[in-house]
This record gives sequence, C-alpha cells and structure tokens, in this order.
Amino acid sequence: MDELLEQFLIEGRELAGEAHDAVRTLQSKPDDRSAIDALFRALHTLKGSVALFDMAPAEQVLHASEELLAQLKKIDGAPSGAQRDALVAVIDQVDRWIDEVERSGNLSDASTSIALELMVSLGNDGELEIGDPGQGTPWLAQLLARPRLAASIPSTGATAFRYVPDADCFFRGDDPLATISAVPELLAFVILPAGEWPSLDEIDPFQCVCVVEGVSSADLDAVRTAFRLVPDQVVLSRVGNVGIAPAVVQFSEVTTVLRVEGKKLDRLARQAGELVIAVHALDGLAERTDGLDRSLAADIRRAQSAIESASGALRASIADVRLVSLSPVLRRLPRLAREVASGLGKEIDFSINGETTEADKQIADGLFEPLLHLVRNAIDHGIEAPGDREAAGKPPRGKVVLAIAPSGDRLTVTLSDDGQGIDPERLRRSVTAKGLMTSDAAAALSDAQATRLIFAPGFSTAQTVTDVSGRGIGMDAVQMAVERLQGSIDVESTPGSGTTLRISLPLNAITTRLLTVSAGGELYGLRLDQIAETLRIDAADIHAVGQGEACVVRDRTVPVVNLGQLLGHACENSPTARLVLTEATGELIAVRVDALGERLDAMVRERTGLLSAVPAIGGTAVLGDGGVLLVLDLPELVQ
Amino acid sequence: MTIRVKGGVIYLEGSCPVEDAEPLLVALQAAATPIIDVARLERAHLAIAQLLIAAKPKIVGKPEPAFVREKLMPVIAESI
Repeated sequence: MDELLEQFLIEGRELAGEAHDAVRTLQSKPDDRSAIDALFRALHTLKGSVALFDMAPAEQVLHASEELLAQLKKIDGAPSGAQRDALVAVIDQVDRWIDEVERSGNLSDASTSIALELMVSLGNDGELEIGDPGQGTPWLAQLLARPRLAASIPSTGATAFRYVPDADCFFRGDDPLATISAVPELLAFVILPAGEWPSLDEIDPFQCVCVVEGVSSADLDAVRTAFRLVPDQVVLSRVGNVGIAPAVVQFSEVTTVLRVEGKKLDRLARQAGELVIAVHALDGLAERTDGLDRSLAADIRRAQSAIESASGALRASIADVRLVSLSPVLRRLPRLAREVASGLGKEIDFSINGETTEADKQIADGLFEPLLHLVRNAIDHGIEAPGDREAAGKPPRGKVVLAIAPSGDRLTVTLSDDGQGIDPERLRRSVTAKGLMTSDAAAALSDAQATRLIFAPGFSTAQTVTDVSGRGIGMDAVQMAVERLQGSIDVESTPGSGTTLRISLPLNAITTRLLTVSAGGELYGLRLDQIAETLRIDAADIHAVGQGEACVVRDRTVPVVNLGQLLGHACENSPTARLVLTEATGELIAVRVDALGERLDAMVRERTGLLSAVPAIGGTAVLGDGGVLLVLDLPELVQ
Repeated sequence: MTIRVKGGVIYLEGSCPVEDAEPLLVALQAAATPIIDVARLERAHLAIAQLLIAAKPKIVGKPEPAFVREKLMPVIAESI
C-alpha cells in the first residue's frame, strides 16, 4: 500500500477518535473551551489530511464543521445539542469514508449527496465557502488534481489559493497577474477559464474571464497578505503534509516514537518466552551434577539464577512494550453502535469507560471482534424499541455501557445494557423446542445456567431473525474468541431490567501459568486460570451418583470426572483422590488426577496441525528438558 | 505601443498593460495563424494573458524576466 495512504489510514482514524473524545466532553460540559479547541484542531488537521486523497466530500463537510466551530469560538458560544449530533454524524461519516478509501481507494457516488445532507444538518446551506466564488465546488481537491500544481507541492506542505477576480476588475485598475507575481515563494499557478474560454469573436478584452489557482511554500498568513486588496475574491488553504501532525518535540526531553510491526514484537515475545523455558534445562543439569561434583552443581545453579533473573527482566520489558492502550481498538465501537441502533430504529446512548486501559497487544487485537458482536447483540436483542421502553416505564433511549478496568493481572471488560434482559424460561422452552435438551434437563437448569445457554452453539433467542446479529450464532463464537485469549465470559441478567456480560482476560498473555498433573501415567499441563482450587480427599468420599460420580465440597455436591478415563487411559484407584476443581464452564466440576505436579510459567503454543483436530487440547508447551507438554483445555474437556 | 505587427508576427514588448488587450485582439483576429513573439516581453496584464490562452497562437521567444519566463509562459503554453 502507498505509504502516504497507510499513514493517513492510521492518523485519519486517530484524528476522528480525538474529535469524538472532544465531542463526548462537550456532551457533559457544552462550554468547555479546551474541548472546542481540541475538536477544532482535530477537524482542521483531518481536513488537511483528506485533501491529499480523492475525498472531496469529506473535505467539504469538515470545512463546514470547522466553520461552525470557528463561528462559535468567535462568539464564545457552545454547540447546541443538535449541532453536537451533527458533528458526531460528520465524524462518523468521515470515519466511514476512511474505511471506504482503504477498501476501494476512493469514495462512492453517493458521498456527494451524503455530504450535502451533513452540511444542511450543520446549518450550512451547502455552499462550500461564504464568499467563495467557486460556487460550492470542492476547489481544493480540484486544485490538487492539476498536475502542474500538485507536482510543485513540497513535502513540507504549501499554501494553495484560488483567486477568482471579478469580471469587471480590469475597469477598476486591478491586474490580477501583478497580484499573483507578488505572492511570496510562489511555486506554480495556472490560469483557467471561469466558464468556457470564449471564442475570439465573442471575447470582451476588458472583461476578466478567468480564474487563477496556485500554490506557494509561504505560510497561510503571508499568502493572505499578498491578496489583502482582494480578500473577497480568494480562498486559501494549507495543503501537503499538514495532516500529518508534526511530532511534538520537547527540547528538554526528546521522546522518539517508533511504529513497529506487530509481528516483530510477537516474534520477540515468543523468543523471550522460549529463553525462559530453555533456562529450565539447567535445572536438570544441576541435579545430575549434584551427585558428581557438588560445587560445580552450585556454580551451575548460581549461573542459572543469574540467567533467570536477566531473562525475567527481559520478559518484563517486552511485556511492557507490548502493552497498548485499548482506545484505538475501541474507537470505532461507538460509531458502529450508533449505526446498528439507527438501522433497527432504536435509540441508544453508548458510552465507554476506561478505554485508555493498557493490555497486551494480543489481547487488544483480539478484543474488537467479540466486543462488536456483544454490542450488536445488546442493541439488537437487549434494548427494546422506544415505544416498548416507554410502555415499560423506561426512558425511550436505551443505555449500553462498556467498562474496562484492570484488576490485578486480569482485565475485566463489562458490557451492560438496560434492555429487556434474558428470560431463562424462554431459553428453556427454546432449547427444548430445538431438541437440544430434554424438557426435564432444561427444567433442572438453574436460572443462571439457563441464561448461559446463549453461549450454546447455534442457539438463537431472537423471535425474529435480523440482519444485524443474525440468528444468534456468534455468541458461541464470542465465547471461543474470548477463551482463545485465555479469558472467560459470564452473563448475568435480570428480565425486564437488563443484561451484563463480563469478560475476564489476562493483561499479559506472553506466558501462561500452568500446573502439571499426571493421569494414566502421562504428564499434562492445566492452565492455572481455569483452576478454581486443588484438593485431596479420601477416595471413599467419592460416591456413585447415577451414571457418574460426585463428592461434597464445602456442602456443595460437585460432579467428579476422572481425567485418565476421559483421555482413554486405565483408571487408577488410590485411596487418596487428588482433585482439580474448575468453574470454567459456569458450574463447579472436580477433575480427578493421579498426581499434582509443579507450577510453571510456559509459552503455550496454540494447537496446530494434527492437534488442532483434538478439541480438548489447548496447545503445547516445551518443558525445560525439551519434552513437549500437552496443555489441556478443561472447559472443552469436561463438557 | 507595446504591440507591433510585422511580417505576420505579433511582437509583445516591454510591459503590456490592459489597454493593449484591444489592439492585441484586433491583431489576433486579423491573422489566419497568429504567431506571437514574446522575446522582449517584460510584463503582461492578465487581460493579455487570457487573450493569448483563448486565441491559442504559436508563441516564440524567451522573455527575460524570471516570472514571465518561468511561471507565466509555461502556463500559457500549457493551456494552448
């Protein structure tokens, strides 16, 4: 991709995000001067950026927004609610246009009429510039399309002008060419017909029938000064690299920011993780040496400890580099939420709290898709139509709140809505009707368990299928996406008053804490975040219940499954049962193992190749001795 | 007079003011395939420049002043 375009896609979206942030501030504090300034700056810079591409309608609406803000700034005024809405619509549309340019390189034909509508909503009658003799045409884009002018713009940017002399200016003694020749640092200009060039028989030699467009490397004010006698006949704009915000350089403390390709960071993190594991090999070496030469073994242990501490520091630094703010990922959610809501004829207030929370890049990257799906679902299935809400005594606008907060080494993402909630009874009926469960089994589910049925594969709760969140497929995909990030998802709902989905994710995903267990004579790894606790009980306390077994843990009856048996090994019957309790599927289950091993940090590689077909295997980890440990996925295994 | 017609060639010389537009137009209309010599042109009013662009004559000569030579004449030549 063209480097300039690539840069624009990143920075254009960042600017749209900044503009949204400012509007959000204005929504709570309408006369916040610094927010108005920030919004003005963001839109102005964005306008400069879009001018570099085939995006004339975007330039037009941004210009109109900028004009509106400039007028407000002049009178120290604040944007009204309708004006704020119009500004949000402009920013959303520009964001969409950026997507369009990324997809197809230009804007569709519809964009001109969309731009006009937006300008009307901004209170602009569709004229590009007040006093602009360009008759509402996006002059800057046309100017930049002229090869002579475009080619002369230096990388440092330029000031572009369009001078439309009055037809009778020659009579007044004006010589527009003299004015042009006085433009400082003039790079190039062109003389264009105001309409069509008249034939020699029709031309009036004393009437000006042309327009002059040009570019200068001088700044805006210097060029404006050259036109000071004809201010009403000229429009000016900065072009070139103005959209690419200059790096903020503080002379006291120069900070350099590098954009590094994500893949390179991933590789670095993987290699650092492998180093941590490779150091474990020294463990065995020291042990073997112990019997031969105790002092050599001690030296090896000292060396091991030094390498471990250095590699630990390296890993921590890499983990820190990989921490990115979630805001770029979440930036597009509000716009998409508004689009979904308006497509469904619903009214919503969508807000995000804690979007600047930092998390590992892998987590940040993997979060957008599942969140988008959850937000769509909340608006589609959760929030009721305005009329229904009023009938239920709620305000017509639904509330959807996304809150993100770190808690310890986890990231908690909560999406709550004040919609109709999930009716467990309806889910029970639905699951029975679909033949996914017998009515007895469905009736035996607690309300919380029934609510979790929304995560069952292929389950749909919508009475009518919509094109927004489809048939409900996807909630299981959301759960899988979250689990791939080593996270878990839970749902709580109160019928009539709303639903809350809670996702818990690791903040750092480089290495995973594992517990090794043995079953059927083999060693396996279990992820510590899937383990609620481990305990030893008397094997006699495990009783047969129906087809299976169960034990009592703190007055709760917990089903027991034997790991060896699940994996097709012979069953061991020692008098003491070692249990691993997991809650990853929403209910407590005890997994019986032959022995509990050590805890270790390991790089878990996602299952690939042949292993990817085996559902219960979450991945593999390389042990210190070079052996490969199969890491089991407890929720998949016990389901 | 900064406009001179000799041997079918229209010479623009010195500083051509707006008043020259009319005689230039007459000269352009009179010539079947007008040729303009701008070698001694020092300045031209926009009224002159727009006539040259509209009439599309053949232009010969390189004027001295930088603005006319490097900025204006290429624009006129390109438009023709």
